[in-house]
Amino acid sequence: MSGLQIHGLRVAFGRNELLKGIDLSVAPGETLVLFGPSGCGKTVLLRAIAGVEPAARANVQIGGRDVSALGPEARGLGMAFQNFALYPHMTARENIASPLQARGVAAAEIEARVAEVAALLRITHVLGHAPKELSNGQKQRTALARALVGKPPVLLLDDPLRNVDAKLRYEMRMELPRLLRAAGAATIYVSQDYREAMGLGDRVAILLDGRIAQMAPPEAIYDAPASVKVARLFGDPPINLLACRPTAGKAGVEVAAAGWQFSLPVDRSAAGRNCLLGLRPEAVALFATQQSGAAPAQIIATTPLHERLVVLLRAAGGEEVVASVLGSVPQAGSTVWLAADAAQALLFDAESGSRIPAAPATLEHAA
Amino acid sequence: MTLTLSNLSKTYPGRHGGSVQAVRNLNLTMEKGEIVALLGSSGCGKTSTLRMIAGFESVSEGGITLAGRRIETLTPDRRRVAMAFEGYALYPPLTIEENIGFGLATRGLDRAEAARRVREMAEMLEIGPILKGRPAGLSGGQQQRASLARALARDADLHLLDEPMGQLEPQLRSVLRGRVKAALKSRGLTAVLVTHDQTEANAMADRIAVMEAGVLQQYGPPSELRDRPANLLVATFLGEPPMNALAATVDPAGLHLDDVAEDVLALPGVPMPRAGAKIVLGVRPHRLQLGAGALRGQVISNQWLGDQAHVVLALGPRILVAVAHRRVAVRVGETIPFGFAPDHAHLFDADSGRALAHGMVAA
Amino acid sequence: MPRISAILRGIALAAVLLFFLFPIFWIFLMSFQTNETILQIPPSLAFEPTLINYTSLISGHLQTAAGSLDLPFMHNLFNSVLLSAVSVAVSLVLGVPAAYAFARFRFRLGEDIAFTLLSFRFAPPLLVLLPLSLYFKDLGLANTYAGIIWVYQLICLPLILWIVRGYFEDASPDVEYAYRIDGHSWWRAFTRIAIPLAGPGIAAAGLLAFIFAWNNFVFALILASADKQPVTVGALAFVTASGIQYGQIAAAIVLSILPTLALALYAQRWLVEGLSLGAVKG
Repeated sequence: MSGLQIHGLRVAFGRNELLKGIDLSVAPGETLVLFGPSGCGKTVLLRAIAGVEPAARANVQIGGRDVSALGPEARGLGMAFQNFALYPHMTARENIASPLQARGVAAAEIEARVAEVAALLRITHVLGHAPKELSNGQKQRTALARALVGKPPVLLLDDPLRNVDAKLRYEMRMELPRLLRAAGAATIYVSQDYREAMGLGDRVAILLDGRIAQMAPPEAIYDAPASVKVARLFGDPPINLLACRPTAGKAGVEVAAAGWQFSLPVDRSAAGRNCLLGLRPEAVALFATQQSGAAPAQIIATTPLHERLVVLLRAAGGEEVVASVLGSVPQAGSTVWLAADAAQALLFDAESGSRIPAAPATLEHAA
Repeated sequence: MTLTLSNLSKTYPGRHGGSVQAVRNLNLTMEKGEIVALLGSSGCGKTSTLRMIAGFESVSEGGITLAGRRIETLTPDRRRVAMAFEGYALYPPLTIEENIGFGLATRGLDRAEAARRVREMAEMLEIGPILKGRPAGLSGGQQQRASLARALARDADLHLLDEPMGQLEPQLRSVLRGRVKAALKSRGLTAVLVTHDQTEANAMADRIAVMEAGVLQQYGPPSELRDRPANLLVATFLGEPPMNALAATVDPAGLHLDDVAEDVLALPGVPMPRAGAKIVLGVRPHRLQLGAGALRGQVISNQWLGDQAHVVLALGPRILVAVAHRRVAVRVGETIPFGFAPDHAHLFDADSGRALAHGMVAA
Repeated sequence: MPRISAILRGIALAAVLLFFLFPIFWIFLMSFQTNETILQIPPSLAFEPTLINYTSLISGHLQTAAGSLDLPFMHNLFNSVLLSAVSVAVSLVLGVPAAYAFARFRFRLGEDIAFTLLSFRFAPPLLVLLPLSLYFKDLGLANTYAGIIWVYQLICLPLILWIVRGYFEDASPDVEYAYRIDGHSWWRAFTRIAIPLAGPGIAAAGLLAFIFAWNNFVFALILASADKQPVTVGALAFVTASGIQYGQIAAAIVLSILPTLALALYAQRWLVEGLSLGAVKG
């Protein structure tokens, strides 16, 4: 097996177990984005893979070779740190050359390969500078160049775009897919930004409470989150969650919340239980006049978000509903009619938080 | 006019003699009930400006008028400003409830009213469960909300909010922006928001002042900054993803994009600088239309982000991003035609970055 | 307003400088005078400078009214340089790796060991001197350079350990991790990354330790006889039967602060240089 495999990775600091048994594998050329709230252990997981986290117990295989007992220098991976971690007393060129130097590559070849990766990252003109003379964007590119230059089979990128401003972040986000494809490494990319996760990840692993709560292609996580927690984390503005108690219906359950009535084709076991109806803000539409199936609500505030408008509303029953719409919106205080796209509605068990799966009948139809 | 900054400057002594000018001749006025954002990257002078308004920093030159009073020489406690600090600045021995109520008690608000305000703020900022706790045991995000609650609970001529949501989880941030904005508006409060996050500035402010290197670059409503940016810096600082910027040379028939072997790009209706001038063409990502147009680019990536698609295109050595609000059926590696309406072109001087023309203004 | 405050600030600064620098200036003047002119009342700034104090110190012969006296001052100076320099060198070799270990690794009793080492500084030297001098006699270490250098570790090692540890703790371990992930061994990461980054701290600690060792009196007084004595003890010889030789004392002081002064000036540029030089996001 090539690529990266991890089995039963655990990290405990004293009695506090931060990671409680992580299994994952990344294929060569694949990018797995590790996503989770701050403090969930994403960075610690990367460090454990790199072999610089003394508290970690794990079975780590790189390119089919068990490296669990090896020090970080013998694992053959490249890593970019969130704080860049450049060597302050060396020039950018010496920083980038470090992995090649460690392997005793000939000086002429080091020169050529540093020049190549620097050109790729567009930092050729600052190779002679010390880190303190570099802008944040250049530091971040130098750190990436250092991780890439040795063509390692595994790349660990710890939120490398976190500390650069929006413009540089986007520039790099546009370039990264191409760079990573060219590198061909099994890549783990840590991010706190769900859009970045969706944009860069072939798959996304959601790390929550020390475990992987869901691991799937990004769209699958967005469209069918495994739990309320995952749904809330993955999306901005966050998903609307409305308390409801579904009743059994013809092809699933009937749900009433915030003045809406839906038939949802989900497992009927949800009937009679306390549930949460999940509706992404972009699945809520605003109308100035009454529509069939629409419910009245009052606009509290409108806040622009990129090209969309995020509208905070109060439904007739007092529930707060967030809608994300294109176009214009009446001013605060106005009453509007809210329609929700039932096809995008999700139902979660209020107690366990897990998503109610599709009704078995639907599966039969599919078969 | 509630707040007027006139020719406001701040000069710090430099490390090796000399001096550093953090704020230069800043002129800015605010109406009562308005929310203004001071937006810029770190070191742009926005925090120095805020500290001068609050009275934590002396004014090197110029004046500050608040609600008809000259305040630049008053001590902070006499300026009638409330402030939410980036570093929270909560009183450690007091509970969160006491922290929020602190400013109210010292200003002689009656007890029941003070308690009602504290409850209201706590509910709005979702810190009800931690009211009895003390700052030391709380996360950064909780302390930040408590600090914001303390500032908002007070009555003041001006509320200063210094990066008030920087430590909050993104999920909470987008909801709180709406609630805080609604609360400020419903009470008719005037607020200055200092932030480096353009999303926050756009979401909350009636007008945005973009600062860079101590100089005010542009001051206006978000729509004006978006549609008629004064220079390339403002144009690329605002908007997410940022505006696409392409170096170009003016041709009698339109524009020739540098390093791109394409024909001349005609932009009917856009006032053109003289032929031969070096300019930068700017187009916002969501104004690029995919599938038809005068340009051809190779698809580098096509990312669906749940509510929008980002398509990255290579145009010769240049990279552009297009945003669509629906899924786009193009594959990586494919070369596709794309373009934009001349209405959505922005032209900037290549040297100074100054805006030369905006398509929509001409239209 | 700013002019007045500038003037007041100038006056205050001058007062402080006068208070601290005047004694040094006076000593400097004294070193060029004979005992007679020094003891003259009222003291006068107008005198005929003489190098007699320096020549007698350097030649080792002191002519007093009571006759000629042999002064091993230059030998004492050599002893001071040797004892201080070697002590600091030994302390650095032992202390820097130890400081690194305390800063980077959490191990059983780690804090206790570090504290015990620091506590050597708490005990008054006299408390340990008597037993030490007895042990040293038995071990044959009494009145040897090795023995004194060993005892000097009580002064230098805790100082270096605690100061350098702070510098290692302030430096982000990520930079070392990055270097190891690049493929370098931990030893190379220690010598090529950790030590250079803690350089200013190591220089500061070394300098301080050197000064403390140089100024030590009690250990040397008890453990060293005439031929191993540093200047601090040697200066006692100026209290002669025929009176106190102020001129020679002054000259001896000027000569004995020169090495530490030179070292401090040399190390200054290391001391002011920033710790992490902008490696990690500021």
